[in-house]
Amino acid sequence: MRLNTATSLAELQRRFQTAILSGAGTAPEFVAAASANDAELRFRIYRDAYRLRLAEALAADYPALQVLLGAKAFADLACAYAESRPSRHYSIRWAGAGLAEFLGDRADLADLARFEWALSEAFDAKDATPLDAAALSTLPVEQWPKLRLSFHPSLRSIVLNYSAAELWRAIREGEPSPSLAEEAEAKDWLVWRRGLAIYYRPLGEGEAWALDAAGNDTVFADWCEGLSRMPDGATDAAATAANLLHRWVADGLIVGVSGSDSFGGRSLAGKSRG
Amino acid sequence: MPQRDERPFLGFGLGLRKEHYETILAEKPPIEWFEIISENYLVDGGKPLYYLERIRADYPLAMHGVSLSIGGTDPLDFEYLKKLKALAQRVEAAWISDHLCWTGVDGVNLHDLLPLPYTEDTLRHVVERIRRVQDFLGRRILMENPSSYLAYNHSGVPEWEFLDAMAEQADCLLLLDVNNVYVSARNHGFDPCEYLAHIPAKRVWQIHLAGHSDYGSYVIDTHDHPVADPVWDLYEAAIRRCGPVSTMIERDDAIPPLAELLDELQRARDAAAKALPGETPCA
Repeated sequence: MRLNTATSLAELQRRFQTAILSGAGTAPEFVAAASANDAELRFRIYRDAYRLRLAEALAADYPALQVLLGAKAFADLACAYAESRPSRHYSIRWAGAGLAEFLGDRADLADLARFEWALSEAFDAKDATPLDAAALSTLPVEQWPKLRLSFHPSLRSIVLNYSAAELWRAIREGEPSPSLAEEAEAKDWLVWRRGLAIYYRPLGEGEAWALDAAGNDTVFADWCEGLSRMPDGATDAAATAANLLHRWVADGLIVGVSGSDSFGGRSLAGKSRG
Repeated sequence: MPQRDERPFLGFGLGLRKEHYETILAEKPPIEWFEIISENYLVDGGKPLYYLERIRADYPLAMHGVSLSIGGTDPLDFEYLKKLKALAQRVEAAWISDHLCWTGVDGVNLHDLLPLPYTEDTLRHVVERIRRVQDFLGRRILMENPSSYLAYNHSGVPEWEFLDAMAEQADCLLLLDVNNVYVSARNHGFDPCEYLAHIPAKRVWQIHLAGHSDYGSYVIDTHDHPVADPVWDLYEAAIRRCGPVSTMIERDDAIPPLAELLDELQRARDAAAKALPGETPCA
């Protein structure tokens, strides 16, 4: 085999990659071609393919954003993103993870991107079987203060300043001329998967705080007390907390509860049905 | 267990695509095996693994990756390989393949199969990495010949010579993509028959067929068309040279109803039967 190692492989790859990521129109000099034009034509196949592939991946993750922006503006956004935020993951599934941050100064578009990304994360998050209401009702009331909850791994809670979730629904249902409106105040939203279906809903007052507290391994009695100290004052914090718990179970958000040792370390988990 | 050099024959398969999940489960179509894109199933849960498990109950699977970057100069990604190995165990993959290419450098993944210069240095580098991957996975892997649109000034040898030396030195297997041979032959002006004549036939455990887009002065491997006539001719030549090899059709864009791909797969069966008269390979 003929030896010729004018350029080390690592150096060649760096120069190749830099030329792909930059929009510049010249092919690296190591490209074999009959002419400069030919070299450029050949190299451009890779440069264009990179942008098209990223745009396709982003379109799959952000379908509503694509509709809202229109094909041309979305393609331009995808191109700018591909150039400045290349993927660092083995799977292109994660290539779009930084889009909301990239949209930074467009808070409205960033909100929509965060909402769509939460949906995509819920899509292939770990499986778990929700606890059913009947199982919860078997726990004696005196055990409740020490209850700790485990939530479904797909659960995502996000804060939106714009009507991103409503816009997403409007686009999905094919409503004409949907637009993003700024909310009077920021709203908390919940996204999760149950079985194979993705769900989302706005969180009620105090619910975002309670979810956060309960998700941090806080026992029922402690987050109940926290609820009672909320400024808008849950008058009967225990009843509010019990209602939240029932709602979470009904929504399929909870996959396990455990008591403390004083209750025999009893714990419940969702049962898989085959 | 088959003998080390005994090549399994899975028959005629298709690339598993989500557009066909429901049809496959409902109709159990006569497809002998599926090839999955490994990365699509390296996720924690949800639909991809739900369907994979159910389809695996009825069909053998082979795994085809796009992120190994065997010719890359970053360290091998053992986190990726760990997941790949676990998935292979989970689905009892018939084999694991990836491409002779690099995908990025300095931690970046361009998610493309980029060409390598075919030099002595590259050969040493790739052989060493294939060996380490095979040691880690505990099995030989199949390396696929890529489609390419450019070559390097200092590329020393033809691709077939590189593949032959690589397979021999690394003791790996090959996935022969007949469409890629055609595409690269058109783009670089070599004779695809000469390419096939130099492939180490016994090491070819799988064949890919796919469609391309012909722009006249160059051809792009788009996987969005039916397999083209000259590629069918090359496929027959490949089967004459290699014998019965597990064959599948890749379609990644403009994905038609499954019935259309079943017809195309029948054409592959017919072409293989024509190339090997008297032999009736059984899956």
